[in-house]
Amino acid sequence: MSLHIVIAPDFAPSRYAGWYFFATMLQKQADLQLKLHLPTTAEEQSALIERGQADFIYANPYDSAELIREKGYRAVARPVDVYDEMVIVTQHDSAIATIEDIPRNAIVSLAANKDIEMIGLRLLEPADVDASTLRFQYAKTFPAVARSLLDNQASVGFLLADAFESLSASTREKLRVLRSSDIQDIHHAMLAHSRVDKAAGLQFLKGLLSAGKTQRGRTWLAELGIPDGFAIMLKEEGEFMIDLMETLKD
Amino acid sequence: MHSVIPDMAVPDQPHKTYHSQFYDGTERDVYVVDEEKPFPKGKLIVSRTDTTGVITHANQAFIEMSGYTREELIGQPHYILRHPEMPAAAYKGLWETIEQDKKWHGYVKNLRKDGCYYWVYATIVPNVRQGKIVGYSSVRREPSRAKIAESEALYQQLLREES
Repeated sequence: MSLHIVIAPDFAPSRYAGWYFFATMLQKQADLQLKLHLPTTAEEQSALIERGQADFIYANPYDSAELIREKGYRAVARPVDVYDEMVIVTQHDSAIATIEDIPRNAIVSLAANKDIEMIGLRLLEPADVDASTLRFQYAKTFPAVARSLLDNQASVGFLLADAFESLSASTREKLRVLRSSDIQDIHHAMLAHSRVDKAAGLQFLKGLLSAGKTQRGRTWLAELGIPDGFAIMLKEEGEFMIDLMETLKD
Repeated sequence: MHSVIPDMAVPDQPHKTYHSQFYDGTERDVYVVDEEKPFPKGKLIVSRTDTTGVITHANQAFIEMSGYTREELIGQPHYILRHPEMPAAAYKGLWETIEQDKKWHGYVKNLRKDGCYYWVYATIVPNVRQGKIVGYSSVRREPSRAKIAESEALYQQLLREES
């Protein structure tokens, strides 16, 4: 029987192939049949979870909190020294030079990614800019956020830093970073559902942790932007991240 | 119980000296320099304490902003950062809120080891495990200048009422 593994739609399209190769390798190392799902939107991810097709999920911090507290998941592993940082951008030639210049009712383009939305709003607080002074325009993906800025459909964009770095050089040149987060405490987590039997869960974890021990594994991990691989994530670490997300909600 | 709080070095710059007394009987001389250190852009100051407010975790931004080393911070009460120009009423409200398993938000002027200060917008949440509060997590964010000005005015009024 196959176990389903879902990767949150937060990675750049350029990493798509890397996840397939990594999952194939993981399947062999863990000696498990794994079916990989790469949803491209938050809605697709939710549908997979609701259908029970997410035995393992590599989730963003906000979703991790909800999945652990409400959906029967537990954190099992975390990427080593890889954090979820974000950037707030505008057009390169925009009159907005600093976050203090963001006008009332400015249109913010963002993907349906709750933690990026939340952190973005927290980064704008020093300028007294908040959800009530902005208009949000949701894009399906991070590259679509960049496009909406280039098409002048929005004046500010919220992007995962990794997604921003993955944009083409010419796109990045047309954008200007107004503020970058440097939090280093918030990260994705690999979660396992409680329905996964203990032996399979352990096999999966062993496979995941040993991925960085071979040259091939390191190559694929680097492709995914996780060059130092995964480490065990204790239950308390998951709880701590949930507490952190709670402090950022308002 | 926390260990002995490290003394502040007497600043070379002009400063005021206060004798602070805390709820647990600890007393300490603190030196206050009239110089604000800017909140680091894009960062969050994160710490955790046990249920009595003794620091158990400090992130790098906390270490940099407080001026203490990690070794100096861990095991110390969070009031090691208390600025004498913060009214006691603010902390009373904080503790009353979090001990009821509720989230607390507020603007806080913190004292650095070198006597300078920095303003934060702090959020504290109880860490509830198996239905029991086992400690607290605190995240400090960069506040707006307008909110700092409002808080300063309020705190000065409260300090006058407390004196």
